[in-house]
Amino acid sequence: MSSAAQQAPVLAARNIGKSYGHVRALHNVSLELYSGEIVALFGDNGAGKSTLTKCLCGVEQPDEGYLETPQGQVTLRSIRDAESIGFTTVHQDLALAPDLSVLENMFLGREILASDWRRHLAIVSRREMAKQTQAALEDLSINLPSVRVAVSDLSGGQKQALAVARAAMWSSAGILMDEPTAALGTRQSDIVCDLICSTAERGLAVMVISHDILRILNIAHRVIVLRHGQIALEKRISETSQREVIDAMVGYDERVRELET
Amino acid sequence: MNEATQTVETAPAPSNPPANALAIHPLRRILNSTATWVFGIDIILMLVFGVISPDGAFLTSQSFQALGLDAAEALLLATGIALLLGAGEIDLSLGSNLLLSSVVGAKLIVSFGAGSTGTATILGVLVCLAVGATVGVVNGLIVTRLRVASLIATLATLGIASGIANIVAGGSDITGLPQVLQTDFGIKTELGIPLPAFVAFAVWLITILLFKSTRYGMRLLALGSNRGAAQRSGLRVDLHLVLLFGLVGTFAGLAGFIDLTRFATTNLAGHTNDGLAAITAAVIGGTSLFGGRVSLAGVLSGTMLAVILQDGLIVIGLSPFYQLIAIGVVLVAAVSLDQHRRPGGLRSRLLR
Amino acid sequence: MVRPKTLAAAIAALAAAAIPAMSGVASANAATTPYKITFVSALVNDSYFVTIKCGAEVEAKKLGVDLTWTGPTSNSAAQEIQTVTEESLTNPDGMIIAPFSNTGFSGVVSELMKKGVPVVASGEKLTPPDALTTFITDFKVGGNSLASTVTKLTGGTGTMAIVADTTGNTTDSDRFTGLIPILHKEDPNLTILSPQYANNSSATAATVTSALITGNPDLKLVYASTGPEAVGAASAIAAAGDTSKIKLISFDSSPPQITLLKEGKLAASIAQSPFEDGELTVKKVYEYLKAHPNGGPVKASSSVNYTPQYELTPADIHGKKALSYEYLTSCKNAPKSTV
Repeated sequence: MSSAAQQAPVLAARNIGKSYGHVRALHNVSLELYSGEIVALFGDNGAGKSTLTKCLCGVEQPDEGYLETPQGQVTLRSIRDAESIGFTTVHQDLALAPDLSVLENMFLGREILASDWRRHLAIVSRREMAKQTQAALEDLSINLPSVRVAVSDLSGGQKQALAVARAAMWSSAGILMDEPTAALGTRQSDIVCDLICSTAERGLAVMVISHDILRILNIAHRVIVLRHGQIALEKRISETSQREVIDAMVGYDERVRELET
Repeated sequence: MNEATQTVETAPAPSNPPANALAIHPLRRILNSTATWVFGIDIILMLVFGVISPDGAFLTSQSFQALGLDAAEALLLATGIALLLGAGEIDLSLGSNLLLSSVVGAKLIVSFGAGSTGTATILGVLVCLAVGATVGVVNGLIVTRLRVASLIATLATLGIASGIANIVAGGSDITGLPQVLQTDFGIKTELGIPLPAFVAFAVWLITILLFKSTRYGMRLLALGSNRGAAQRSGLRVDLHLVLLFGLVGTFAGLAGFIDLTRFATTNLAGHTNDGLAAITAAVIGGTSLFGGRVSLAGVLSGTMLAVILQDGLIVIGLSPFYQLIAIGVVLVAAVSLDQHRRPGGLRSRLLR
Repeated sequence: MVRPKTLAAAIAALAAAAIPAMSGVASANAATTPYKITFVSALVNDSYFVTIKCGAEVEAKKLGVDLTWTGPTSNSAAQEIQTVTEESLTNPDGMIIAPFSNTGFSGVVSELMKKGVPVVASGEKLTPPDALTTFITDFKVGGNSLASTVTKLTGGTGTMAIVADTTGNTTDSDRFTGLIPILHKEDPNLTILSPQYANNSSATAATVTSALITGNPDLKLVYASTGPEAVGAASAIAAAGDTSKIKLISFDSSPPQITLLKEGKLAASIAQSPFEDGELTVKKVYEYLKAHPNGGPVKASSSVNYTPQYELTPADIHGKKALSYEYLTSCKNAPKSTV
């Protein structure tokens, strides 16, 4: 992982602002995401985290400012646009089809067709998709019993892992993750955090939005805190502390009782 | 950050079964499925009716032929509706679609006169299919463009198509269809199988093959399993739905042509129950009303159940009023046995 | 100067003279504005009812009556009652109803009769008899007349099945309930199965008939109570390959049944005379209105007027008399008048 200063950011937000009616959701927000780096995005409820995420993944467009890639300025009008610049998103609801198998969820919309004449009938090759899915999971050290089981038969942690693996498989630049540990127990959350690290180690830029401050601070390289739609803190992990992060979130100078154990 | 890469253990959450129990042997999965159970009920009923009927008449080849013929149109409709239910939609208009297709097809065939029966028949089939597809596409457009829920949309087209059929027919059932339609197809058997049953079965079989092996089958299930996920995968949901409704409409059109060949006339007032009967057959066979789960094997066993019941109760001489009771009891028994057998069943799907 | 009292008297006298004159003018106007008669049929897409419509329209044109024709497109008493209620709100002078069932119509019919709107029933005897009068085929006579045909076709032995239309409807059941006891007496060796119901669906009738064939190896005759049942039964008999062994008879002469008669697949069918029914019902309402210009509640009666029927067979199907009993699909080729 090279130092941030020597690389161009794979995605940058330059002074973006977004309003809903008369409510200023974001104001003058700038950030940069670098390959191989995990950025934690914290903020209290209503601070603008989800608006910022939506602007970065193409669901919304900023009213002010712009987004930038190494190729120049970009406008993202859909999730597909974000995918075309190499960014995938893992939403809180995971967007998995429970009745479909692991491999089918992995390749939905990008199915691998049979190699012979059968591809003209749009016949898929489940064997090939299974092989590639297995490889992708192993790459991230995810161990599922079978890629042919239905997603509804997986545990919460396994589903989260699958969603992350899918995002990693189809992204070339970075992944945005919204509350990856929110629905999980302690042990599963630890496992997912390891997974996030593996993803970054493969060279992707990762931004994690979370309320789980302690755990995410443990794996992040940089921290950004939003408050009232503006950046209240932006520091490398080594230069800050959990206390400073929480203070920046709630805006108190005095100490605040820890929210996480 | 934890440097050591750890494997994601198969840590079971309290409410899920242990992961290594998930890799169920395919044979066990088949034996455990709803479709198999309904097939079992079908066979039991057939044996029961066979024993009670005079000289085992229910189990003769002539009886089987009659069952097949009676089931042909219903099988086509149920196959179509299962696909739609799987994608998270519903279609109440199939009966009117069948009727309209048969009426327009009949008008066309009759207009050809006595001379060119062969041409008339071929064009008649094409017209029936085309009308069926058109009604289906209209349904799809109402659902995707006008954003009307498919339940309401197809309830409307149920009435509209029926009205148009009555207008086109000019007020009463159409006559003058060439007899060869009946003698050479509608009531003809080849190798012991009635031709309409053969056609319906072939369509059903092809549907299974395509559904299980193509990406469209996969995408169809995704549409019903998690519509949002399907959208976010970049699928063109609206296009898929319109084409699906159109395809299902084509099945109804084919059923309309078969109706013409069986009776050499239309039946303006007789198709009001077809749509609901198709849904019932599909759901009893294991297709979920809520989307994401399709059982085409169940479509066959569910359709057969309806026909076996209706036929068998008459063969053994049960009065029609007791028939109604018997049919109701069997339906409830079949569905409740299925719920019982599956852990959680309907409730678990609703909570998802 | 005219004195007020005289003026008042003059005005009163003028008024007294004017009113009868005006009402005289009014009644003259009433005589020239055509009567509005609404015909609510049980089905509008059935050739039997289309034929009634043709007859009704011919008579309406002759008498200068403004005739409205309406009804549901599928068998539903509830829907038809709703239609009758809606039509009654348009204030017709008279109504003719071909009710789908014997019961359920009394509320709306007795209301109309009380308001002074004469209601004539066609094809169905209402219970209670709330209509002015009823025009109907004598189904019992028609059904019973088939007894000799049944004996001839079965030789008095074997089994006979009945494929009927709907339950709880004497217009359907009268077609066989009188026939059965006659057959029991005349053909004691003939087994008559209890009726199965097909609800106007030829597909259901085919299923029912093929099951009856399977379950009764000595089935010799199927009696279908109306058109779609005959069509379905014929298809099932042909599919079973038993056309020579199993005969078919029916009631009604819809175009598909005429085709079956011509093809020899239907051995006999009792035709009603819906055209005449249409003419007679319109004429009845017209005559009543003419005879009661001042309105007032209409007295209900259980009187019944029977319209003729005729047994069609393949032998005489091309004859002139048979032609006059065939049901029509459109009024283009309708006869001019039969009354």
